[in-house]
Amino acid sequence: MAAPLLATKLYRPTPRSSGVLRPRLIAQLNNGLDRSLTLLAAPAGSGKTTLLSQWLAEGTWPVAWLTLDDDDRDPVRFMAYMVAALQTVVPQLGNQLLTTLLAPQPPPIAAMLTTLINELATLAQPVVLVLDDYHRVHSPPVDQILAQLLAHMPPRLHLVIATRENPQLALASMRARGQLSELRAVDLRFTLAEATTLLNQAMGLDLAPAAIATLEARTEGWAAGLYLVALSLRGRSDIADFLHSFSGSHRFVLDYLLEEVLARQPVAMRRFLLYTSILDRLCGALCDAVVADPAIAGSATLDAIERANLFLVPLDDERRWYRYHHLFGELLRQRLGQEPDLPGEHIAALHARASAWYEVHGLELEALQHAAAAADPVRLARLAELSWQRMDSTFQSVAWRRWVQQLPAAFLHDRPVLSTQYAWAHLDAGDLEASEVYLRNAERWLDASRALRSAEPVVVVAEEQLHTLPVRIALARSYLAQAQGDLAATVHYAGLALDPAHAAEPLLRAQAEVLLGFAHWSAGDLDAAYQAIAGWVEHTRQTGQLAFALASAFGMAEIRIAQGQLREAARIYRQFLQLAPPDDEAMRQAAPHLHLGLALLAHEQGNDVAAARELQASHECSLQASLIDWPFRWCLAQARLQESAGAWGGALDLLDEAGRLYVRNPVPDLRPIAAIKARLFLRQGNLAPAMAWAAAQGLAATDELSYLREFEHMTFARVLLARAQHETGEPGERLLDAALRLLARLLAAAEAGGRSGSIIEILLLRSLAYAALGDVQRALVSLAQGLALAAPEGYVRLFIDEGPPLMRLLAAFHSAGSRQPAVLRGYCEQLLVAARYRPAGTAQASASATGEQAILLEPLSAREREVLQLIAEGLSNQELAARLHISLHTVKVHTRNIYGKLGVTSRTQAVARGQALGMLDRP
Amino acid sequence: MPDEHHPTTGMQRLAVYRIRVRGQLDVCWSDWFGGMAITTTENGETLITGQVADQAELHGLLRQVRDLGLKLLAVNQCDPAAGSPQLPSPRSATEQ
Repeated sequence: MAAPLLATKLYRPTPRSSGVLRPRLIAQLNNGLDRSLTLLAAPAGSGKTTLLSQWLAEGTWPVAWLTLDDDDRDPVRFMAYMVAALQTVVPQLGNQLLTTLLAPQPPPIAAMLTTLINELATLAQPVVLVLDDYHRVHSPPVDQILAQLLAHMPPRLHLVIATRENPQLALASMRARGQLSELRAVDLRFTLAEATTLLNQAMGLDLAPAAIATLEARTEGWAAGLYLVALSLRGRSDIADFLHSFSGSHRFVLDYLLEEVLARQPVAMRRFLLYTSILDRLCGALCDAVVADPAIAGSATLDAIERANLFLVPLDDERRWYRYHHLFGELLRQRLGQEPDLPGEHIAALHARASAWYEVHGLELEALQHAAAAADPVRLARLAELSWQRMDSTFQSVAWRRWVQQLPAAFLHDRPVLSTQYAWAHLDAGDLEASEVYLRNAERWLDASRALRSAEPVVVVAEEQLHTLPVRIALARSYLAQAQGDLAATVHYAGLALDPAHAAEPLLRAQAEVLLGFAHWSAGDLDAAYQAIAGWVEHTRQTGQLAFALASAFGMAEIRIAQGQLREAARIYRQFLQLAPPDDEAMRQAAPHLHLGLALLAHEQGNDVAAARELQASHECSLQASLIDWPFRWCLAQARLQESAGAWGGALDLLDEAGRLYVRNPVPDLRPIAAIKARLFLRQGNLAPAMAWAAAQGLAATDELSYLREFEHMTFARVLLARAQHETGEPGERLLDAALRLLARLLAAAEAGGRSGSIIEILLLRSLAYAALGDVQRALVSLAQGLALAAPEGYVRLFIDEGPPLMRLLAAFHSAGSRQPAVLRGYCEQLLVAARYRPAGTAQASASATGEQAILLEPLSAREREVLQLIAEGLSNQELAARLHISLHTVKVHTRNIYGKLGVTSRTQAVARGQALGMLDRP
Repeated sequence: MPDEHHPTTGMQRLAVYRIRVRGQLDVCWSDWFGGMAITTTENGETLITGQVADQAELHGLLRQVRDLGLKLLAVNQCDPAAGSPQLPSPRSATEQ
């Protein structure tokens, strides 16, 4: 279920009838409509919102309005509200997107933003989007969203930002390009003429010009100050006295004036204003509950306040919800704390009453917020425990955790259910250490057999969750252990959860089973892991919980890939893609993953067309929805493709991004990002950071082996091979010898575990090591073994990404002719074609050939070959950019990379070299 | 930049800051600014002075200044040795 959106945040304030029109500013705003952004940056109380509401009421364009608050710093929530605001004027816009944004696990922001920008580009009419109170957001990710939007500004959209401080956007360059219209404090300051209109006409006073000049000077034309002046003067006879003492005082303008205004209110009204200042939003019933005085009726009083112009802002057309003008509200709250007859505990009582009202009305977050402000931990703890399941099943577990964090530790101490919920909230967020603390606490209620015992004093509100506590704790324990790589503990706790004595409900049992499956997977017991995950998938499928089944399909496919069964893995992905129609909610979340899996398989098999197609499908699906780890997997897959294209730098950046996106979870981390990066460094010929990685991981050729570290050890063997290249004679041979012994042990382990994927790679590395030793015979034997295993499954990338040394071996294998099985020769030929390998002159390419003339160390990507072809046809950089629909900058990046890979410094040299390598079509 | 940590004891040395704003604020605003000392000057300015644990706390105080629409004139770090030893430090909400 989705979290509700507050309609009041989307309400555009209507202009006050008593407001002063300011034509000079409205003209300035109108002129700014030609530009991308209008920025109103001015201090609190300058009249920003009032001006905007007047301006927009005059205009004829549709206006989407969004009032921001502190919670909008979450970029997903911000996006959701932005789309909802736009829908108030273009109802069909981003419908799909909004559902996605409100789902428990929304896809990456960048993807959703692209969709939104594309939809906005098709707007049939101009739309003004207003973001009011932007200063409250304070969030670089949200700034980033706006920066992106402004960089690709849809032509019909105009953005207005009202804020107390400059937003973190590239304002200077927008100013320079004439894309920015600005109204700042100096513009919003009331002129003498405007002050006269406000005081004498709008507020109905009759002040002499000299008096107005005095007030304008004293308030410095500050809208809030002038307004309070008018309220203080209304119905007053001693105007001269007021003017004298106000202008003679050095006191802060608002401080002085608020006192004047409050002093003139009836006692009941004064109390109402102060008491209700603790509320972010006000409605009659809520005010009744908070003020708790039958003599003061909430709705009627709100009406009276609005009529008296006491800074009350309506939040809807029905005049149901209001808020105080921010500055006025702040001043009231400050006064509330100073009331002599209202000590601190009374203020807490106000918050407690607000919390109770929100609880009854089902607004759980607000109830938690006021319980925290009431410093009432008992209440906060109770509300938290009761709301967890609903908050967890929506996307609000982060907010839930934030409020529970305000509880004194002692309050979690004797609450086993809350403590377990809190532990799960930490697990969801990947904070394993914090989770451990609260699990340990909850476990005090378990006896030696880890069943519930009644000895400890206990506070439980959600009684129905108490009897399943042992199972829930065991599951959390198992999850935690698996995320920490403690396999024995994973198995132990999953077993406890499955203990028949607990008679756990089927879903909890199935959760335990799949955790067991993950443990088998980590231990390298691939068949047992496959069975467990397939069992879980079957159970959830039969019970109609398709989301779980689809989300776990990748596990089955990945295990088959590790077993070297690429075709079976592809079949699994395809089978699951057919399990439900594309618009099924569960399918919408899983489809991006399934397509991504197919893309990577196609890539491995050298089918670039299919890989591109699946990648595109994955990306398109992800715009609708995806699972929580999709951004991480997407970056990893992109890095893999960049690596194959020889774009090392881009691949390394993507891996860093993937590392940032990684959330610790129970799926075994079999290919640590640091190890993938070390491989890329080696491909770059950058030995130092690869060696530093090996040292930091404490890797040695004599290490005990495990499946979890297999990838690291294979990478370490690569480091040894690379180091050997830099040594001659005995030191080099010693390194190769160490590598060969490590590879032999890795091979034995992989064979024992039935991991054909690893076996092939190890055989290739062994072949390269023998070749480096000059033992071509053995090199070719290993290669033949690898080819025999790989041929039926159609591996391509595993071979050709190894680059020239392996290509030379393949060429040597191929040229050995009739001594090799025909099937393998054909496969070998296919690999050489895929690698665009051109032997240097003779058919006797051997391991000792330099390869310098023969082939490139880094192959050109398809795009780079395209650019080179166009250079050969004589196109200038500008013409290239136009032809390929890319920027001039990108063209330059491509040419620089081409020069680097070809080892040339000019266009003519590049074309000559390209022709020599047979890369160019004849013109 | 003076270092924020005492080199020998490892204890954090609280920095004392003084924020100067236009207009005289009543001393009752002290709570609003986390218990900082409020003093006014004869030329119509207010000094908000006190110990600040770190930069984040200082920025929080500056935001309070912004949200009241006060005109910020200066922010200075004072030498605690030279200042009054009884300077209050901001209290967190839970301690109040």
